[in-house]
Amino acid sequence: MSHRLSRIPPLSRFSLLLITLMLAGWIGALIAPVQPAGAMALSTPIPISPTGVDAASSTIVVGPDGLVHIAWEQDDGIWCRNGRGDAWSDPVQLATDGEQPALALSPDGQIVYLAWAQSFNDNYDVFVRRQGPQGWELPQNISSNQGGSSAPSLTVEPSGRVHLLWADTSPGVSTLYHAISTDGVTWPVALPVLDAVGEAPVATLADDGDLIAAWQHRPDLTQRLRIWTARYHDGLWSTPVALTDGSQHALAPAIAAHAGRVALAWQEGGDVKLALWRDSAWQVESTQPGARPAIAIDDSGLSFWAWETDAGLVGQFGRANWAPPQLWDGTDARSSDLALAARSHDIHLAWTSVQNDDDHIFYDTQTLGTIYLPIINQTS
Amino acid sequence: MKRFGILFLSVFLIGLAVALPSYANSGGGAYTGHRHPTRTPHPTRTPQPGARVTVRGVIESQDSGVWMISGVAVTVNDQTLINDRQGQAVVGAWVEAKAVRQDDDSLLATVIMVKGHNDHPGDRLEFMGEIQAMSDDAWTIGGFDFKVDAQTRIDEREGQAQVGTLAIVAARRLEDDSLYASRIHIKDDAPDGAKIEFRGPIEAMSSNQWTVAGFDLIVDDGTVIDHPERAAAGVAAGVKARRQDDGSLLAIEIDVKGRAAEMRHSFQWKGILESFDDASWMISGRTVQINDDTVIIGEPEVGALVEVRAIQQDDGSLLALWLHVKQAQDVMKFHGVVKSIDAETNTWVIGDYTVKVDARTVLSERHGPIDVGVMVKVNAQRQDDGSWLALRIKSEN
Repeated sequence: MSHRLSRIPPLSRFSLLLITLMLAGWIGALIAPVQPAGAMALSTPIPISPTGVDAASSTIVVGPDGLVHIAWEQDDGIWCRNGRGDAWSDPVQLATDGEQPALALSPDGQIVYLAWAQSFNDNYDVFVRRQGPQGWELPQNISSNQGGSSAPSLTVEPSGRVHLLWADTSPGVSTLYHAISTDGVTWPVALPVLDAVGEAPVATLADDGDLIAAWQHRPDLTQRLRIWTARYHDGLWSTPVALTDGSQHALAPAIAAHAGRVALAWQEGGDVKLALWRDSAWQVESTQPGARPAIAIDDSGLSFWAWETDAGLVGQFGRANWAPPQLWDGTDARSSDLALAARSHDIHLAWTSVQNDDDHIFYDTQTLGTIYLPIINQTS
Repeated sequence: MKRFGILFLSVFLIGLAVALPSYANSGGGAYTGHRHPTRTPHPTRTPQPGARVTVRGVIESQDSGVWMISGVAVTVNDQTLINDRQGQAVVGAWVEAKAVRQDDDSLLATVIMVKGHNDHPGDRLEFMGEIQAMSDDAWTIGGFDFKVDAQTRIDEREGQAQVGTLAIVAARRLEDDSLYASRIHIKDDAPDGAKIEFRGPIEAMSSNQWTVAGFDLIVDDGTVIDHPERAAAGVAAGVKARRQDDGSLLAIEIDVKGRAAEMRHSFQWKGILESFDDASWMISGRTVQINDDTVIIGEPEVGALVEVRAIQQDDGSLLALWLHVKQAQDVMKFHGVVKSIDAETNTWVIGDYTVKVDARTVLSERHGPIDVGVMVKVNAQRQDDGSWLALRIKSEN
């Protein structure tokens, strides 16, 4: 062996040493515990909700012109602001009572749709109102039945057709309902999704035009929550399938699609998981310690997902590959209820955090294009 | 050589950078894959409270806090809400009294609503309560005994007559002071999962079957069809139906709404009552007109929370169809730890409160599974019998 080495030129010997070191780096990386690769530097978070009142459940969208809309719930109802940079509108109260707001934009960003749940006539119903050129129109009760309706999720097609998904107990067991409107004004269709029992639905529109939904469900309080998914294609819903096996509680699904990608994140036990829809199946891409993930994909396919940890909000981004998780600077263990939106490499973030003993909504943004991306494909 | 060193060091760092996320993501390999879903068992149905009774009849006397309504004595106290918008609650008025049976078997009225004045025979009355006993010639409903015979019409369209189900009885008082049931309407007792409400386009219609949004519906003489003159293929309709034992859907009610483009815009919202008079109310900055057909529940009071259903008229103004003034003391939001869950009685103890749950209750477990010991936020509403019904229970961090 030494004889052979002695015949190798000095330069090549040094190269071999470096290659060995590189391999050692690979091996070390495979066995070493992974820590967030430092804090993600952001601008100073902007307080969105007013002081002196508790706020929660923020939802965020960003239009093609970069205008950001954030809605949230307070004890006195649903509120909304829009803005960009440091310039924000005054908060507008859009419902005197209500919870679980969801926002969506028309493709040109000119119409804002807001859905929420609130008690009305002795049960919870789901309401929608929209903001057009004339301002906010009056709310419409979309569920309007005898059950408890909750957790609305809005999606808008490129054609402008609006989909509203929510959970409804009117059949006696919480079941997904799906309403469709061509204009967001009249809602002639509101149907139960057969066999789709559960709560907390989320939905996204894939590039092929399919609406993809995910939700959580357990048959009773003795069993574990599982994540379920179904696809709405050509006017029909597929048979729901369970994504998790029930060995641990799986909950808080989040879903996003853009530029050919569909990504689904959820919490399972003490971890959060991210799966991509590939080869007609959900393939888990990443598992990290944390809770209640959120996800967004921008128009280039750049994906960003983030979640709650004891240290604060942690995020990870990538396209074909995933960068190391990074702690979101300025967040802490009390940061929660994360909402994400993405457009043109800009990530927009809204979350709840405690300030002066009140829960407040904060907003921040970062351009992901300035951050290093791995260049070698990884296998999952 | 130095340049080669830098080059290889760069390659090494790149390799490390690629390896890190690769390792970080390695825990996600245990994908469970697609599975066929199992059918979800349906939870047990919430029993109707047995102590609640609704009596509709004519006020015959009002003495010492006890009103006689078509022969039924009802106690009225300071807590009784009297809605006299449609007329004074005086002797001769036709009223609806919601009451709770007390330990001494008396009936305490929680709400009395005047329905009009006496164009109803004084010996006619209606009850709503739980069926407690049934025989060939007598039924006990809500603590009252009713004679029945072959002429008594039993309406089982919504549910089967059996002990424990809710029934509405149209009765008259006989000369011997007993009550004769002329009609008994069984309220909806469909098991969970057998009821369905939806909205969609009418696709086909025949005398005994409609297809709405892909659902085939059996239509019979008992099906209530609102606005049948609008019915046509393509027109939107709201449907309430129940699944029968053979799997078919029996239409209970079909509300033909019209074509989407022709549907009048109707709006529903909650707001604060800012001002009101006989012609209009101002609710959170919106003026709604009222007319003789507007149903008003509760006493208007500036600052009160009001639920509104209104339609937009041709001139753009809003006409209120329904206004419900909410009483602040009838709604409650609180945080607490779940102390107990009684699945038999659908009763939960949360913090310092005992709440009921039923089919309307939304359980929100997005922030974690709900169980004993978990902190939750509750939105509850007071019921006629004074109990609290949880409309939503949400797990908290």
